[in-house]
Amino acid sequence: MLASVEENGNGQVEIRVRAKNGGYRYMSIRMRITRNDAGVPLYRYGNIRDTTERKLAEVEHAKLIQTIEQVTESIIITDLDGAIVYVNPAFGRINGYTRDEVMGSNPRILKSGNHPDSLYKEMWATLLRGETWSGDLINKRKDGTKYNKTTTISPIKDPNGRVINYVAVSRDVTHELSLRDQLNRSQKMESMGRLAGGVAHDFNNLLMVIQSFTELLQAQFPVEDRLRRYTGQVLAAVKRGSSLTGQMLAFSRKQVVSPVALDLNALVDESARMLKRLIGEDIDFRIVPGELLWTIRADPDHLFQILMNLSVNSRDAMPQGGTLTIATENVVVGQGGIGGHPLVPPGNYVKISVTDTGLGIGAENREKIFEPFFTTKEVGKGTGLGLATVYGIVEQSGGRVLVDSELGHGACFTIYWPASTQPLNTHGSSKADAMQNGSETVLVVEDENYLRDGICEFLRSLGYKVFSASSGPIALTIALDNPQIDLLLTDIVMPKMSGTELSHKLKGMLPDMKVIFMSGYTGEEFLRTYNQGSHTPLLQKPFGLGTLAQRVRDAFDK
Amino acid sequence: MPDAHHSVVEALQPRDSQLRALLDNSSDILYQFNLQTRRFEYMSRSIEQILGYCPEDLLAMAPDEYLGLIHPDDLALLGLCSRLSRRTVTDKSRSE
Repeated sequence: MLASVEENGNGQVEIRVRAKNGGYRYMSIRMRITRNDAGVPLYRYGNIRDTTERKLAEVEHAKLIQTIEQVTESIIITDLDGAIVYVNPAFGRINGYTRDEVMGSNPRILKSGNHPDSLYKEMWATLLRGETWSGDLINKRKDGTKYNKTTTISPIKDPNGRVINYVAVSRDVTHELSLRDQLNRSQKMESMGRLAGGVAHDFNNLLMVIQSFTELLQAQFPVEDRLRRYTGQVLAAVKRGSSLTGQMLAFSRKQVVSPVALDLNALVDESARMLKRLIGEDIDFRIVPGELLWTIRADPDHLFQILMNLSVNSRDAMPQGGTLTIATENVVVGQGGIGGHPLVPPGNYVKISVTDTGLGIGAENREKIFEPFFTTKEVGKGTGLGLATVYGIVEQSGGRVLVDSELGHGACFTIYWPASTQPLNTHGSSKADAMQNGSETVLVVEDENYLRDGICEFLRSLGYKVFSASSGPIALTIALDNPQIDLLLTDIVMPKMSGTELSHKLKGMLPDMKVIFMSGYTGEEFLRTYNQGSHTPLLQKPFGLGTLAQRVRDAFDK
Repeated sequence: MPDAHHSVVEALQPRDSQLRALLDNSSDILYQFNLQTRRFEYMSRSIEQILGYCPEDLLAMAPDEYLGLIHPDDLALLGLCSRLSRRTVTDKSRSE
């Protein structure tokens, strides 16, 4: 309470007095004491003034100030010339300036140089019309770093409508923007993946048709025939085409993977000789294996592909030679992700980094390098699928791939691969042998007519009895009439009825029947269950007739 | 004696009513408080507008009644004023 009272009792106090209606009002009382000649007090004369309105305004004002001082938004008030007359503490927290440093100066000290003068002209034109300006700005902190903010600048008017000040309220949105960018990027990759996967699916079917008929054609020619060379060229082209669709499928994360528990260091070691040959003599190749590396679950062929794609890129970035380092390490990622990358979920990872001392990647390209068909190489030198493949494989495994690079300062690709608790497996590959004949009955279900005809034709040539169906329902009718079916060879993605549904229904009628799936592109649902360990063999399109013969034989013999 | 008193009051009346009119028309509340009896002896009309009480209400109130109108948190401050007011102030104590 306000009070200034002298020793003799004269003075002024402010107290609250209850009015007749029950509410308290602030009363400022000026008092004067009269005393007789002996100094004995006689009367107090008082003058009471109602200060309630002023007091409430003061309380309101204090509350306002407290709020402005404590909000996270930065608030600047300037005079009509733009000179700063007030900043709140959030202002300094965001850009590093103290209140004293900026008092009297113009907010243009925060300009980053990222915006054209026309933006500021338009801002002032709006303000001079007495209107509010809002927009997103990139500003510069005291230390020179930049930040994004969303700002609203309004004229402050006196009761007569005259503009007396300007107030700018800004929110630092740097973190939100970076999160939004990352999300946008991943959504873009997602939709490009769907597109690539769809194209690869149709393309695979075409390749299969070309491959099957070419192989059938080739079998017609004697070994020394000139025409065999031609068909050989066609088959070689199909192989290159299928490697392309394979990479597109990898990027679209629609690939069938055969993950095994493996030791990454061992795999890097095995790949080293091949990689060394690939990158050439001019580049110093180093491996820095992490100690006691955790096991990971991965398809060894895919991992090798990742190492190869990254190494080839590094090689191309170092035309004058340099150093390429592949390092491995255990990493525990906590809440909040990895330094500025909140999209790496918490967990245990094995980190693989491929670092080079090459040309580096500029900021404008850094965002696009994982997009399919993006390449900085000359036409014909790169497919633009290398990094897209890496991205797809890593994402499908639940990992993350990050790039750290500046133009002229080399590049470092880091992959966080989820650690596994599974014990180690040894990996090996099986090779298809010579054509294997048979005499069993096979039901071939495929909605692509040319492809189905090719497969049926081939299986018949091996001695199998073959029924052909273009859809699930037709296959069911055939099975009703011919209960002697030994093997169902079916596509997975078909209209009307999927291959998995068909196999389920037929198994109910013919429990001893074997099943082989064929697919070029499969839905999420199938992939998830299949990759978790199904016992039904799957032929990834496009496949060679040799592989088909082997798998069909295996289905009966194993 | 009563007559004598009566005449004095009558004699004073014209000036007194002028004075009262002046006091009662002030926007501030003006009062006279007897430090010996601890009662209000005069309260201007403006209290009615500001706090809603008639001046007569206040003049009739015993100390515990008018102190009951004060916000409890402000009683200590008022107590201090009261102690200072009621001190006998001699030249000697002034110079101390």
